[in-house]
Amino acid sequence: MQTLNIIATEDTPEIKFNGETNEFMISGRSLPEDVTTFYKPVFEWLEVFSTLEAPGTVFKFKLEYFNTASSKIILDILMKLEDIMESRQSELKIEWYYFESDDDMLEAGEEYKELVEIPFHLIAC
Amino acid sequence: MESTINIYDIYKTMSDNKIILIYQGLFDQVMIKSVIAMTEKKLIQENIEEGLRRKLFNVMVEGLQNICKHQVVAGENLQNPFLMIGKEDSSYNVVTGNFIRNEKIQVVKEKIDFINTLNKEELKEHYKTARLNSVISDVGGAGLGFIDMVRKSGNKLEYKFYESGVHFSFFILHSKISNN
Repeated sequence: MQTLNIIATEDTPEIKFNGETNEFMISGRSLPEDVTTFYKPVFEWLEVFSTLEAPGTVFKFKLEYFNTASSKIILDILMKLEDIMESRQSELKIEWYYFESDDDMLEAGEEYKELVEIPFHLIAC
Repeated sequence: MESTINIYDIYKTMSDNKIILIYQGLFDQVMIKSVIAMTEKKLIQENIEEGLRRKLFNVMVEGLQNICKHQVVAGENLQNPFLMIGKEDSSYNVVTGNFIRNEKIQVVKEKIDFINTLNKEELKEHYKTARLNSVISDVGGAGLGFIDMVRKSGNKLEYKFYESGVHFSFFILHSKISNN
């Protein structure tokens, strides 16, 4: 599985796939001007991922903030993961992190969890 | 005939407010990042509680990015957009103003008027449905900004359009963020 390593900036998150631990993480802040262009590498990576017999991969979201356009993209990512899981019948899981005091991030996670049929864990940090 | 919206008049309507920030100028992603960084520092300095700070941040970002995506920039006669943040008792007011094309007015009015009729649960459902059905537009928006601003602020959005000639109007948007 190819690596993916996008460094965080003030308005875009860090995106990192760790081949050794099979963890895919999106963390930081997401408010890019152009969400489509920014997240394109992620969807390209997911396309390749969907063709592989990879063992269980954990998809981690550790976002401090995301704007509404990012909220749509995150939904698209989760739905793609759901398709992948259904067609491959392989183990995927989602870990959604939120700061303990961040009700909004918890609520966002709960809303996403209701929408997709993937093991989805809400984790306070 | 070009009418100049007097930012000072709007500022006066916030006379009960302690003004935290006023910016009038160019609005693009680079500028947004600066304003966000500056505002964050100020909000911390003001000892605003974290939850409220976060909501303010959310509303401000959506408001600023809306301006970037929908403002009318062409024409030297059009004054620049502005952002104003003020504190009023224990609430905060986020006010933005920008020129928009008159063709857009009806859509904006309908969107906001509709969102303003919804209660908390209805807002949640509306957001979920709208997001599911949304497509990222050619200016990179998902059409969810107003809903999010109402959800996060806990209050209806107030707005006004000031006609400025045949083609454009100045759109003022006001979001009040309360400590719930």
